Amino acid sequence: MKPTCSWTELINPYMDGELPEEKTRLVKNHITGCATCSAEFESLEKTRTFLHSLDEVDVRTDFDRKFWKKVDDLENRKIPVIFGGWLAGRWRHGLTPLLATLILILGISYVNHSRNNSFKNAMFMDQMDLFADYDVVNNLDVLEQIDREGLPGDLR
Amino acid sequence: MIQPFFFETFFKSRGLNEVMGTDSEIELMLRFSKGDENAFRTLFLAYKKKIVNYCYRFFFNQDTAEEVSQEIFLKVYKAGPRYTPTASFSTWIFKIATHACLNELRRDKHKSFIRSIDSDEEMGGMELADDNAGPHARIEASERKKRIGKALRSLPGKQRAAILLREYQGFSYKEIGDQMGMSEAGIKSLIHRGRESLRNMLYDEFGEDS
Repeated sequence: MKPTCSWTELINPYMDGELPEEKTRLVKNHITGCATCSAEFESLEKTRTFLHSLDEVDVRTDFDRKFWKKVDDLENRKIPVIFGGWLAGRWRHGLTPLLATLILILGISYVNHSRNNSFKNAMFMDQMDLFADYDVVNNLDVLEQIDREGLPGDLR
Repeated sequence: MIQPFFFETFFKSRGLNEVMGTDSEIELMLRFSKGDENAFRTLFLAYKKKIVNYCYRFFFNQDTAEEVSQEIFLKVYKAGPRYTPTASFSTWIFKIATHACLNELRRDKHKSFIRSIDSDEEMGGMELADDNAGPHARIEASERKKRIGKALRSLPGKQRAAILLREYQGFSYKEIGDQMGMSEAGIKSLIHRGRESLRNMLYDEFGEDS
């Protein structure tokens, strides 16, 4: 039967620096005097050494390209969405003022259009009045003659 | 967009920079949340190799590792506008990475891990640190690499994650607990059992040769 010691459960947190200072000191002292814990500590340390003997892999050269393509696809999917999240896209900072400007332009255009129509109506009426005056002025000689002599015989 | 700004000024006005340490990575992420894509690129370049290697040690398959890594970075990218710092950036990104790896594992795509471990092509790229020795040593090193990979992959997902986060990333039990949604005691137990299993598979096999 493998010998056991109640301190062995503290060996892992001791190795990981997770124990308070005082307890760390106690465990360290215990390990030096306990064959069971000493063997346990040594075997766990060796295991860690095996794990750390693995070096790192290199990232493949097309990793970045593939990732940024996924980002582009994500952003392209977002643009047609008008409500519910489109502002979270990376175009949000350009799109918001652009839309605001567009709405402003449309608003001003509408107001101008309405005003122009009223003006045109007023202009037309003015012109009609003018035409009436124009006719009078144009035919003033005749009108004055009529006033003096009355209407011609066949028109009386 | 207001939220990240609020947290940034909230912590700074109360002298609580120490809450996040001097985490310039949080600053970069907050800048990204305000639309600075170069800030994201900086973080991407800084963490690319770390995340790929974390995923590689999880699956011991480079295709899967890079695919999952890209999904992780995509999640970080999408989270940008809503980012609120509640921990260091590295804790946060590795939390996302751990969840992504555990989900991928659950998708049950890796029943052939034994075959992929034995394949030299799959294991290519991950060399042992002492791999500059002669041919005999190189063969031994290659075999040892395969056994280490096999041992790691034999661990259940959570044990594997806890061991990788502790051994290769140096996170504390508390940080790992935050990342995995577990208590410190739970993490301590996972690491204890994980190391025991690895020891049984590696140390006993190698014995005094190691």
